[in-house]
Amino acid sequence: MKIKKVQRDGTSMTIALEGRLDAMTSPEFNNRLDGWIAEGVESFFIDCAQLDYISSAGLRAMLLVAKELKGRGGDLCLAALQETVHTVFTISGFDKIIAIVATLDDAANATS
Amino acid sequence: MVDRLQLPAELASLPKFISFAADWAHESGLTPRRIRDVELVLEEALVNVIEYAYPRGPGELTLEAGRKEPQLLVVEIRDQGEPFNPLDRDDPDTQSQLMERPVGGLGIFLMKQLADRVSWQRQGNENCLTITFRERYDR
Repeated sequence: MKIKKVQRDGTSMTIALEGRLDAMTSPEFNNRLDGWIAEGVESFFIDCAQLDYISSAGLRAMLLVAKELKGRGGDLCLAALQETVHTVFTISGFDKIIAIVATLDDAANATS
Repeated sequence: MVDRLQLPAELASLPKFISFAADWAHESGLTPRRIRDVELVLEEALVNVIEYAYPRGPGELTLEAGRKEPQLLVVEIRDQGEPFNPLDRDDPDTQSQLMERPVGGLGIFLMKQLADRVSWQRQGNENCLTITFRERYDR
């Protein structure tokens, strides 16, 4: 898994995820995002176009971040999910509790 | 024909187990999309064993794969750990709101949703989890 920092605008940050968010890589995902949250980031937009795979460990990692941000008055928004990744969100009901949009532009519009 | 892979029950073994199962799924003629399901189910089942089977120290995990007919994959996961039937676990409430949503319990649920059949048996000193996959998607 790769986490690319795309843009930071005050307390909002856009990152891009690549590869697999699974039992092996989720701890690193949480470490990186927790670090940015500690630096004052309150909202994350995550470009998932290159995210090929997510397991329950990845969902758990997303849930932890979403709860942390909501507790601070911020938001988590995921964009451009691949179909197989989206299916995992749907089966687990995570599409109801985490904002998912078609494109990063939609994410910007949804929160502005 | 049956093939077998035995490795330590630890997270570092996951990629080898998963690619072993994915190779078999490919051999069985499953679509790439269904192979992705196989990978996910295997991760969930194996992580469960890795987390719960050997609370008192290291142990081994065995994965067996075989094929009886085209577009059908049957895998068996065996460990010599504590008796533990993952299917006994209640399904999580997939309708609860964000802040009420418990962190966990989803892996077994995903496994049950994406496999065609999952069964557990205690055989002697072994847990044996048998998972069956059939094709679900158009080619």
